[in-house]
Amino acid sequence: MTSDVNITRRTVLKAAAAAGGLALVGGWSGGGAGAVSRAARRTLRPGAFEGVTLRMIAQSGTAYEPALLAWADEFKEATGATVEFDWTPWESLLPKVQTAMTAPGSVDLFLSDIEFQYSVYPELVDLAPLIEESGYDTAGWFNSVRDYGAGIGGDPATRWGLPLTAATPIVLYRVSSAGDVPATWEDFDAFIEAQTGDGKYGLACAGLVPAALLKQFLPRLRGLGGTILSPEWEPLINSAEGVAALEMLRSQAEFMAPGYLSWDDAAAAQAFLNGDAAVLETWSSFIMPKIDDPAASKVVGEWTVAPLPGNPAGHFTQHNAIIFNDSSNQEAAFEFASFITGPEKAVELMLDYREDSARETAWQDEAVLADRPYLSSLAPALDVAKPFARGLPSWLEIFLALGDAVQAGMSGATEPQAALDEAADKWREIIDRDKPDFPYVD
Amino acid sequence: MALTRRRRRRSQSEKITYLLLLAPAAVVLVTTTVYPILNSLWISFRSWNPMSPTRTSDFVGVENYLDLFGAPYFRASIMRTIVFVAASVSIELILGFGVALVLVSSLRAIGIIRTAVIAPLVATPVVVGILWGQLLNTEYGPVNYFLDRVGLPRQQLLADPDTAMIGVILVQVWQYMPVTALILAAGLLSRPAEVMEAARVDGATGLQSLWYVTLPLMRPAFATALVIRVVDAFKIFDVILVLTQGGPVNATKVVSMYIYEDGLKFFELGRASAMSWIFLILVGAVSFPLVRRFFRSVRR
Repeated sequence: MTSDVNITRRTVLKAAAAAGGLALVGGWSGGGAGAVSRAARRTLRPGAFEGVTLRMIAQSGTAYEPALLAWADEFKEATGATVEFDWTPWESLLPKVQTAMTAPGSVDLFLSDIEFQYSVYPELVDLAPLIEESGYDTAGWFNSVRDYGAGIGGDPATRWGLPLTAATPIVLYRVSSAGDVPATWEDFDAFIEAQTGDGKYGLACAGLVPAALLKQFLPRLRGLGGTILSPEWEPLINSAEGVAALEMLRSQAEFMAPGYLSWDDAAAAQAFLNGDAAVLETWSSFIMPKIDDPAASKVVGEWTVAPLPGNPAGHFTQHNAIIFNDSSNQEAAFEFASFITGPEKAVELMLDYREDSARETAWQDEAVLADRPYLSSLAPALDVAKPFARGLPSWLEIFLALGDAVQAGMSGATEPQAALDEAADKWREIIDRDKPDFPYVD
Repeated sequence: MALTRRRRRRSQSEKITYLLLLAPAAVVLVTTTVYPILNSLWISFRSWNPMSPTRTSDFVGVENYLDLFGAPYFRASIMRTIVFVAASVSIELILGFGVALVLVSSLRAIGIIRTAVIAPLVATPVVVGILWGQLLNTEYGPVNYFLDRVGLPRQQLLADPDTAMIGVILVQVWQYMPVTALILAAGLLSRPAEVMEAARVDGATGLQSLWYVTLPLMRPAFATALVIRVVDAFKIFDVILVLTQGGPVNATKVVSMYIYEDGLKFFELGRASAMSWIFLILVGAVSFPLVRRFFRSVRR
């Protein structure tokens, strides 16, 4: 497997060298220091990929879906390459990727959560040399995007994807000003308790999918000083901090709607939009496009985005464009990935599609901030957020197992300590099946 | 002698023709059914995850099976599946028989009633799941709205681990009861008229003729409905996936959902294959005696 990857990397480097040569001829900017401004000016090479068809698996239902469709048209007009998308629901992405891997060359690109790289990285093109050669602008990325996007698989020099979006769950409070947001967990509990009654609830929560509850559990665990794994990949979720975090959630569940275990993210967001819930922890894409639309929201202008008390580390993720190493169109694929994830498109993504770019520079853009002033409150949460079980191939299995434990503990079906002990045992069994040969770094 | 030889030759050439005609179907059957089934049996004795960057496919003997039998979650899911099948099919048969009696009656609006009864069958299970999810929504669902209006307490049917399975069974019965009703209605229509007439002439009341004449005559129809519904109910997956995703707290997570999760989410193909084989044996153990009884009752 390793030798295959190396051979492919050599091929890619050759392609990169050729691309570099063509870039010079075609007026591309070079790499190296000061690449930011030059990269921002880079243009697509007219007709460079005439007749090429790129196939990309991408997650359906995202706010960036229409953006990609529009940009694929632009890309075709400029370079001649057609991009065909296979829009796939998140739950079916891994089976789709697995199928693609059994048919070499059938898919060139994939775009979704970085966690998918944890298991498929041996099948991917290492983009680090291409980034270096092409002068692709990385300076505007959030620090967390830069740090957590490199070294998956253990080699810190590798980078398998170009980030399009970055996200951590946001916390919305039904208060008019940031000054009214609870500053401590005691204040938070008092706030949600005071807001509960007469058909209204303090906290809206999506409990239908157990793993969705990790949006709540992980920041509480980390806020209390806990972590999920030791450097040797030993589970720490059932530590005193883990149990305290689950107990905290269990007591806060008293101020949630009684039916929260049948709510998905859309239902939880709807409760906030209807003015029936005072606090909502969710992914921004579930609510932000509607929150100030009077036709869809009863809380227009009556909400504030702010971190949880103490700004604890939430669940961090980034959507990356990655290239399969059996793609026969790697040069065109890299050009398309660079095009859609570059600085100009980042601003467009935030302004026109209200999606959250992986580029901090786009978050600081004046027009973007004028349109979405709350971003300045959200940026600190993104800075401290942490990815889940970074680098572990079986991350999804342990993610869902923890979700089951949190749901059982919150609902009262199992005591928090017992639920987390059971999950920790399951984690050990899962991790032992293919433990990474590099240490876990939180 | 020559005639016998000619006959033998002709019979051999007929055999070859039959074999040639059967060959394409046999090839399709072997490649798409027999081979995958046997291959899954082989995989069930291995520890294999094609999405793992480090693991190889190792032979582990019956370890996957032993692990599953020792896993409380798997035993619980088998029990849950059996409860679901037994409850839903029983209710479908009882309600289906009542509806079948209505379907074969000569009520004035029978056309509308038949259409209304059959309507749930037309919907796909995913749509049914979404529809009932909305109807039973704890906050904004019409069911709770009407309960509120008549002063009854709101119900958290799908949000409570103790009642979620009841909700799933309710939805399953709503969608598939028409199947049993149609089969049983066909059975009612095929009752010999002279037997029913004889019972009437002998002074049997409506209930007596139902109990002593109709129900014994309906045995083949009940057997047909039972076999079809039991085998189908074991395959429940889509409605639960949409309605409760197996929750809350795994209260509605049946075996097929674990097979899906292990096989297509985690790619633990060895364990998923072992689960499939255990499930296949379970379904076979329940449905084979039913099928045998069914053919016996039909023959009688």
